[in-house]
Amino acid sequence: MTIGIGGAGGRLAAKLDPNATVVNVSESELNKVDAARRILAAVHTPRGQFRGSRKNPQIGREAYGSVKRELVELIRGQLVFSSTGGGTGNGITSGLLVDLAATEAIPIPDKTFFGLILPYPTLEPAEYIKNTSEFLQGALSAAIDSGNTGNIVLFSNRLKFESRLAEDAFNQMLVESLKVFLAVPEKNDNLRLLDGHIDYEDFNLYLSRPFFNHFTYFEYDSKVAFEKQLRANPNPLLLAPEAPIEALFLLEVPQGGDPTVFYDILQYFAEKNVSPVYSVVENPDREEPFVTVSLLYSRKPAELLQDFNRISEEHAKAKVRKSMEQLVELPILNVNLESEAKRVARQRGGTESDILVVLRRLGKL
Amino acid sequence: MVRGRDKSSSEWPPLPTRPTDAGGGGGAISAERLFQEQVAQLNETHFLVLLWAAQGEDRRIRYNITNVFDDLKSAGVTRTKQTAVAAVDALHVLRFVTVREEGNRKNIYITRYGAKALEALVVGGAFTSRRSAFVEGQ
Repeated sequence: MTIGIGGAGGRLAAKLDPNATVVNVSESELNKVDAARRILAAVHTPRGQFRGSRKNPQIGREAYGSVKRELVELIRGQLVFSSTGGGTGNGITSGLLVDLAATEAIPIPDKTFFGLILPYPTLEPAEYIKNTSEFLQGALSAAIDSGNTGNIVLFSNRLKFESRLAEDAFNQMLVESLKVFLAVPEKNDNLRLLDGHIDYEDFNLYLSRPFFNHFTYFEYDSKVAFEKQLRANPNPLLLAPEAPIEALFLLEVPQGGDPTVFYDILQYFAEKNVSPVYSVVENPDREEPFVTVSLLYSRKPAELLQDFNRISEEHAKAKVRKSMEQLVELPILNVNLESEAKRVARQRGGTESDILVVLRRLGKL
Repeated sequence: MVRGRDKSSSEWPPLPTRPTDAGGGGGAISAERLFQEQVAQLNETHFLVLLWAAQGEDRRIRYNITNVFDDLKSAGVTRTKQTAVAAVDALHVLRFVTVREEGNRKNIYITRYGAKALEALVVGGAFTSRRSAFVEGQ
């Protein structure tokens, strides 16, 4: 089962899995998503829950209290999708991650796979960047340190903005990409196995590792070095990976193809001191070898945070520069202090002579 | 009703202008000297009450103790009605103002001596004048 938190997370989860559960603080947003189950996280408001968290993670964090007990049970061993820029996804997922971090130990089958959608700092609003920075620095950092999460996939909105894609089309790309990766154990089961194996148990074990996951797939050319091909074909929907700690790959070779081409891949990982989980299968539908690779890396959130902070700082500088350019030159005012003091005195209650004039007029002097 | 000038001050006996023996064995004190000492003891609150009472009278506005308190409070001089009442009381005792009960209100009118005291304070530049919210607002 898939769980989607917030607007973006809910839409993505519902697209990936027809049996998805979506969580939101906005009733109208919930009703827009075609999901099997909808959970409304309660916020205290006199106006009804038709507005979302309005980019304010505090509202999401407060609403988390109302769904905490249910969600903590629900996410065990499941896929959770959320964005980090807005209010609901950020707030509720922060609450979940903090609770996970505080849990003693979570059994391997109960580890949760997180798909986090990060904003594209260059083009998205500064609030999204700020919220994401806080999320990476706080909740995500604590959860990673505890080791109580499963894989965390960091999706980036970069391609969506650079290629000017509609959200629905972009979500469709994310879903298609995820499906390729999640189909690894199924292909291993259904296709003729030539070498290695990745059954459901192996795959779930891999998903339960508490590292960032960068997966990609491409047609494999045995004449070109694997490293070169891997570098040329990163997944454009994800943040770039770091040096892998663990890896997994599934190589599909055409019928009658050479099954030994994967040695080059093993050689590559051996040089990186990584022993990958792998499977080589024969897929009659393929005309060329096709490889699905996943790299687990441990890029610390602090480093990720630096990226966001750096970009956020550039945003701030650009704003300052823009406002300086719009500065209007003010004319120089020549102020005579004496006349100004008299004017103020007049405003305050009249000058000395005025008072004496009043007294004389009254006939009292 | 048109409020005229304070006539009560004219009913007072004239103050002696020369040294007398009335003070007993302590030595004589002139009326002029006494007046100067009285004026010297006045503080900003007294000055403002005199000023606003004169301005109110000039504009033919009844200026009462409640208005004094409101204005002093708005000028940031005091926050208690007690201080306002004490200032008016002191001026009344010194015969610098007359307090008349008119229609359930204690209205304040400046006397000739009060006018002289105010003149002395203004000329001496002892205090800065301030605006009366009540008088200006009428």
